Amino acid sequence: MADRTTLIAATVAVASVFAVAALPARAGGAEYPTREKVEYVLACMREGDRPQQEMLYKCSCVIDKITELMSYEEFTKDSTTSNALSIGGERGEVMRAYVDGRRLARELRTVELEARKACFLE
Amino acid sequence: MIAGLKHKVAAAVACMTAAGVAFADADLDRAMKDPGNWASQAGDDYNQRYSALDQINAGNVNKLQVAWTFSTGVLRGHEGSPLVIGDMMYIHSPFPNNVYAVDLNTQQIVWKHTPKQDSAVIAQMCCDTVNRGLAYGDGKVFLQRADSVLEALDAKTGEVVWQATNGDPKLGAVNTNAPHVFGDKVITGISGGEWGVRGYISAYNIKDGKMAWRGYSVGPDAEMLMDPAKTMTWADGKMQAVGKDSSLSTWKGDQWKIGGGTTWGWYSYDRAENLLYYGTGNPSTWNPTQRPGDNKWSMSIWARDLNTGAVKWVYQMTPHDEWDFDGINEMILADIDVKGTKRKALVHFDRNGFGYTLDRVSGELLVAEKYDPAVNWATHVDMNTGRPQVVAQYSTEHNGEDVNSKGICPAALGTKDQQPAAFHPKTGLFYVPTNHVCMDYEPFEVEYTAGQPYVGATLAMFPAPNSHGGMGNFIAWDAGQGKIVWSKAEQFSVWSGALTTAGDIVFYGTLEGYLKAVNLKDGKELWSFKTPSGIIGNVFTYLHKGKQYVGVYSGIGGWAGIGMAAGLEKDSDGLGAVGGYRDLQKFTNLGGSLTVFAIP
Repeated sequence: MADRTTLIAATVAVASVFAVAALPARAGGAEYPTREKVEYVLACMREGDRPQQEMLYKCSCVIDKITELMSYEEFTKDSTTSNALSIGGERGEVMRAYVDGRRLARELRTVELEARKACFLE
Repeated sequence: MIAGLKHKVAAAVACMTAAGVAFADADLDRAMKDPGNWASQAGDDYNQRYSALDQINAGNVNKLQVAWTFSTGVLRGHEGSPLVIGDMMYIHSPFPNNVYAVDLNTQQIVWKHTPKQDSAVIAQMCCDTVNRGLAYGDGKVFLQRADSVLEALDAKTGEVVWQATNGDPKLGAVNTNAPHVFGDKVITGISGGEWGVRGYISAYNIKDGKMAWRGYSVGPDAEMLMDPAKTMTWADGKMQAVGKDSSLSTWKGDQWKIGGGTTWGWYSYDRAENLLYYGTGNPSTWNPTQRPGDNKWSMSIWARDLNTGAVKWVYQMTPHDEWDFDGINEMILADIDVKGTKRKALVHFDRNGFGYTLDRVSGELLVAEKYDPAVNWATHVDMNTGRPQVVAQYSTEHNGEDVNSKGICPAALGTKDQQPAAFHPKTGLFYVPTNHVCMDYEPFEVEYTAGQPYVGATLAMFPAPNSHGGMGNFIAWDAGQGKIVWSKAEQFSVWSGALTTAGDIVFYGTLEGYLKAVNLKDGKELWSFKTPSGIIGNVFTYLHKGKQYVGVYSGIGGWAGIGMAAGLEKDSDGLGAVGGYRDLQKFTNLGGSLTVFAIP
């Protein structure tokens, strides 16, 4: 329950950060829906082991960097492929046996690593 | 096997007396009559996936917003859909197959059922730890667990009323299919074609879980519940009796004993004819050279008497499979115009890339055409013999063992997998989620070991060449003519079941996680929303307190939302949470979830 309360608090905080940050966003960033960015930040925060507020800053920084580095269309395609590679069984095999699949997943990985480095999140 | 044989004898006796007379389940009938419920996985016995609800329609669907969500707390693929009966929603999960009854007034859990299954079952499942959902009838909710145990739960309390063991998971006989309630029977199939399981379909009495009959897909006539003189099939342009040993004569030696023909799809039922329809999967192994013959009756469409299991007719789509084109996909029943004549039709979109229309009463073959122009392994289906005309270049048998046959379309997953299509009575058309993927296929010699995978082929896959570059399409299909009416390109294969409504819209989900609403007439996108994970579940709709809702499971098996953490490419990732039940609140954004939409 404690977890949930903080999550909700974080959502509100993250949402307001984006409300401000969205204004000067580049062409790439503007097309990312708020929902997508909040979702990314929440998942990123959950995976980190640093204090919550610090993770909030760093994860927000990461998604902002990603929006500069790739279009939302590319991000969706790459992240879908990346997720699909972990599907068990035959359907996942379609993606794993798909040469472009691994390339797209690597593309996203590279962009994320660059963004994380730029945001002191490694 | 011995127990199965005993039941077979009992069923054969029952055959004489009870064939043809339908016994209804009053409780399910009542629930299905009310379009506000979603009382069975397809919404009806016909597998039409059509809802008469029209509050949400082409004019206002773009106003849909998230009304509520529910996390199952379980990772891995979420297939099927919840059921809604009155104020209760019944939600299921992949392995360990938890069931939640949720009060729609409060969205609170009324009861939960958390089966204790041996996690060794996971390793026996070829194609992810999915479960395609629950069935309802006689005041009970039916769960077909992965370990093959079929459970009847009291719909009000969740208490186990009866259990039946449907297979031996140690031999790879596991379950992913949804049970189906037709009349006074619960029908369930079996998986494990990749483990050399000899497929069968079973009927259990809804009251006490006693097996009423079991019909095998391959083997001796008596065990298939076939009458050599009365069971009919399409040959030489007409229906003919199958004759003696119609299966045995198409296998080398006793290979039929590990011959596959499993039954994990979506079944349908015509009450007027009292016939049950379903399809059988691939023959084992995937290496065709090792199993000469037509391998009947794998890869076939079946019509059985619901009371006795006696086979009325059967039609084999892909004799001697060389590509793993399982024939298990849903059988949709609809009364449609076929080439100018009104027919009681059965329509089936096979993995082999052909859309079949048969007369569901007689079993006559009416239409067999490609529903993706990319399909190349066969030029056409000979309407006289009913056999596909295989192209030698794409024949993995012709090219032989250890030879890589290249550019075969479709890939092994088929032009469509189990994800069910929908029918709309107004247009008379079928709305079909498809794969647009081709493959290179190299078969190799394997030996059968009980309880081990029995595959014998290496595959590589890619989007259909010289097309739009995407891996899927969503199409509208005229089953009377065998023609594509419109086709909407998709970046990824569409692995979600469709829903049509009286609001003149078609819903389906995508691998990106989008739930989409498109126009019935031309496939034009009217609305979309990106759920937290890829969608491989089926869209459903219901009415609560006079308001229409639309919902879908999302959850493909990867981490929800993003793929940022390193090392998520491995198949085993996410396995950790499969076996254990974890706190739902804590993992609210991880794993599978149900998202329900309404117009504010």
